Amino acid sequence: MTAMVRTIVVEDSLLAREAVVDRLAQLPNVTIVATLENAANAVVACARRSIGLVLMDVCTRDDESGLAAAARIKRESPSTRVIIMTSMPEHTFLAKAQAAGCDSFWYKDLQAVGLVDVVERTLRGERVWPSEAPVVWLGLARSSELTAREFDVLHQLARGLSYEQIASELGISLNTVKYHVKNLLAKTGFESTLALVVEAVDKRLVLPKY
Amino acid sequence: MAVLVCMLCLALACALMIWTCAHPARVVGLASLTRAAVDTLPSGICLGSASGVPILVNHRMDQLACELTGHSILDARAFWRDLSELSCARLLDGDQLGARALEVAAPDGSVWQFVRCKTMGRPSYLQIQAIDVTAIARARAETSAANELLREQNARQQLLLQDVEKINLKRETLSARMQAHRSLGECLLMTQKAQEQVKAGLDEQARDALLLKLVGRWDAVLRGLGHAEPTEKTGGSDLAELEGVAALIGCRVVWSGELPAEKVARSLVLSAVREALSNAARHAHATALNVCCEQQDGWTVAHIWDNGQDAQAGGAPASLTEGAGLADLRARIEEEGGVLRLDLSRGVSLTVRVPEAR
Repeated sequence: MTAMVRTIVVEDSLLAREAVVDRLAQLPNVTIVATLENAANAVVACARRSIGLVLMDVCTRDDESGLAAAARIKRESPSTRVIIMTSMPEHTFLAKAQAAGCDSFWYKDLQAVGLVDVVERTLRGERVWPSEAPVVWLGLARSSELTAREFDVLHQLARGLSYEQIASELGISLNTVKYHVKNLLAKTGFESTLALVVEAVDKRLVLPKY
Repeated sequence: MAVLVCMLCLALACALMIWTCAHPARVVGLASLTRAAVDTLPSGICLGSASGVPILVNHRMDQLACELTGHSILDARAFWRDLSELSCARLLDGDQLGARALEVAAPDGSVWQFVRCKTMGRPSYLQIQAIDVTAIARARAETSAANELLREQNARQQLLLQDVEKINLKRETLSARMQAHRSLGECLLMTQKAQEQVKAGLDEQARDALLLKLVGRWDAVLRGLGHAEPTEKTGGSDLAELEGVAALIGCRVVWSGELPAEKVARSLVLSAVREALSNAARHAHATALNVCCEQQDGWTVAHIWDNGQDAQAGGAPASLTEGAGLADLRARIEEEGGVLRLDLSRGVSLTVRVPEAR
């Protein structure tokens, strides 16, 4: 007889949560012991090390970051498998999930591979990762056209930092920050950093809170 | 650089004038030559006796004096006083030699820096220099305007970011409604298909199974519709979810007192409870966690302790290190102006003190 995998689903949208639970019902070896809206509660739920699988949304209730919670779960209970689920194209999520030691990553609605498939493969010990974040248009440019450094600068701009603060935060000179901002504006066609940042946040390409 | 060259020229000219004044008999011819030279300087210069009697005023300074005070310099000290009282004058810092400086905007739009000082040696002379700093003042004004614009943009950017949460909530509502429409559409199609199947002829068992499936589907959709609007984030279900998780790990939370209603304070107290629950289950093998909240003059004080093995034995835990969880919690609490205290006298207990409104 196959051992049942005690599973937690963290998702703050009711319909998405029900959809996930619905899909997991197809798997005979998965039993859902809790559905949560707040990622920090998942850390508590894993405290006895009896949870085998966590499906974790990134942006959860009360602004708790699913990535931070996943990192802690993997640190304290490495045998628990964690699958990150998100519909946001935020460019840092993939790297952060990998750094947190998560087992798999699934883009809701955007990925050709289905959730059931991702869960089955993850439970078999496979790591299922999309090759890159979804590409979105930012003004006149595709998000894939921006360099990693330009994304870093954009991320800091979205935190509301001044150029001087960005230079200090990233350990680069003020002129280099201005150079990257100039390139960002040239590529995207925006006339001001404010318009650029608003569009980037609106498209969920940059979410500094998480 | 230009200002530096002007200053050097002025210094040379002044030294020459002072020397000329000190040795009048020897250099009558040289004095007139010096005067002609200082008249060609782009900067203004005025040299007077200690009592203020003007000895030498060059052409530029005379022109400036007429523009700003309406007359030539009759008394160097009175001229300085008149300058200081002009509405377009701004006092700058003096230096260690006692020089004082004024920045004056002339009616023609140019900006002049006037510097007053007493010369060294005996007899002492009063010296006033005027240097054209229009370009510097203009650059400073432009920088200041640019900084102001940047400050405004930063402030607006931060305001907009605050709205992101609301925008996300609206998007989610819209997405929920679209999902509801899709689900209803699917159910209607399923019902229509079932009707066709029933009309085409189905045995009783198959018909019952089909009806049961349809009812289940409609029930799920209608239940979903009842919750289609996202709930407010400051409601009571944060507590219910935490209690559910506590029950899952077999550690009951016993509350006494009122949790703060203010969002940040409430969130911090609940974070502390989560941290304590996590540690109580993992290390102390506790079955209950006590949380006692008190409100004291705009502060919430929460005492949190468990009934784990160390608490029952009445001793401190064998080893205790402040791990990442507690350190993060401490940082979050201190960032909001609160305090986290650990007490190890009977197991591990936490005391959290957080302001209710900042």
